[in-house]
Amino acid sequence: MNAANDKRTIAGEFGKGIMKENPILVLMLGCCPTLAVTTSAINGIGMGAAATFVLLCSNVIVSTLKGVIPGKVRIPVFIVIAAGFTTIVELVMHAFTPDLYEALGIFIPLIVVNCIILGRAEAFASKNGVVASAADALGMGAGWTMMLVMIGLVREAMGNGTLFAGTPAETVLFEDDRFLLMILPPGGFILMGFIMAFSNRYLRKSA
Amino acid sequence: MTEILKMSAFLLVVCAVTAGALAVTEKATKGRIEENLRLEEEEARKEVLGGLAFEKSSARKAELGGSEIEIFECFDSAGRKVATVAKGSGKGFGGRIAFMLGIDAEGRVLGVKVVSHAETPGLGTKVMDGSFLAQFKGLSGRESALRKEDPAGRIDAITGVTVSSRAMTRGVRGLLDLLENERGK
Repeated sequence: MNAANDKRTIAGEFGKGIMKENPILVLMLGCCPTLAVTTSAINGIGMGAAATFVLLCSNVIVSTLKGVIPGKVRIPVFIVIAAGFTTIVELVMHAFTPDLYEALGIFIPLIVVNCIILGRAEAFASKNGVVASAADALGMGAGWTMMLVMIGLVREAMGNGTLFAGTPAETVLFEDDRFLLMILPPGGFILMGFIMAFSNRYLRKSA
Repeated sequence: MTEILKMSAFLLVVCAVTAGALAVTEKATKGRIEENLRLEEEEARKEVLGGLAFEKSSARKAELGGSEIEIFECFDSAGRKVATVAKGSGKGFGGRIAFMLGIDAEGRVLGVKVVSHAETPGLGTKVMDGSFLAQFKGLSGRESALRKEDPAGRIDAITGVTVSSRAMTRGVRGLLDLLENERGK
């Protein structure tokens, strides 16, 4: 960090997650669930929203406790906090929004091992204030969700010939000659590589 | 030494608080979750019967592939059996795919619905779509096989989703065979 630190604002903490420190494009965090769940746009939205909620809760708690957590056991503490919130989200969703739970069921437990949660707790929340950490969580969550939806849209459109399948906004683009590779894991890797290359070449000044 | 004790104590406190929070949440949501599951099961039963009306019903246990399954029998007002609903499963790509199956008095499939699974989203989950499951309607046990693997089969596998397609087809077949054997006795 450098002199720019003095000019950090809440809006800045939020905004950096979208582009400058986007978890996928720049930090390369949370790539595993990104590849696993982005077979459709709606999966991306659901996973992004659930993970953002856990990230927000975990960042707030970690930044609140940052003075008292003993350094040597901070990682287990962060994981227990993340796992606790993830389980609470899972139970609450199962009880009150069974349809959403049904749609996301298998992705929810995955949030615990999402390295964005641990990464932000370690790199940001344990060194910054509560408000800044909340802004960081929301920005990182938004940036991650944005990438999930973008990758999901392209993979779904090419591999399945639809947009937003399974929602009222479902649009069928084509039925024959679906590019199946895009739905399979290699398609996710290839697309993510292209998106990163594009972002490095055109969107970031210092790559 | 004191440092280790301090760290352990802190970790213990964090775990205890988390466990407490989870216990409270679990208690607060348990009733609703159970109610949701019960409603879901009732809904699924209605769905696999394809709107077939019945007067009375009774449940019993049976054994399939080493595990116990529940068989739900539906009777009309005269006491004749009009339909049977049972839960079965097939070995899919990500684990067991559990489904509910409804058959009529002649042993033909009324409907199939997947109730739980861990298949690849967007790929394996295609076998849960209405268009794939609709193929089972009216089939007998012998016909519940993949067309490309068995000449008697009447099910078209989904391209790229062979494992999940096979899992559903074999699972349904196993359950149909069991119910058919029971009818034969």
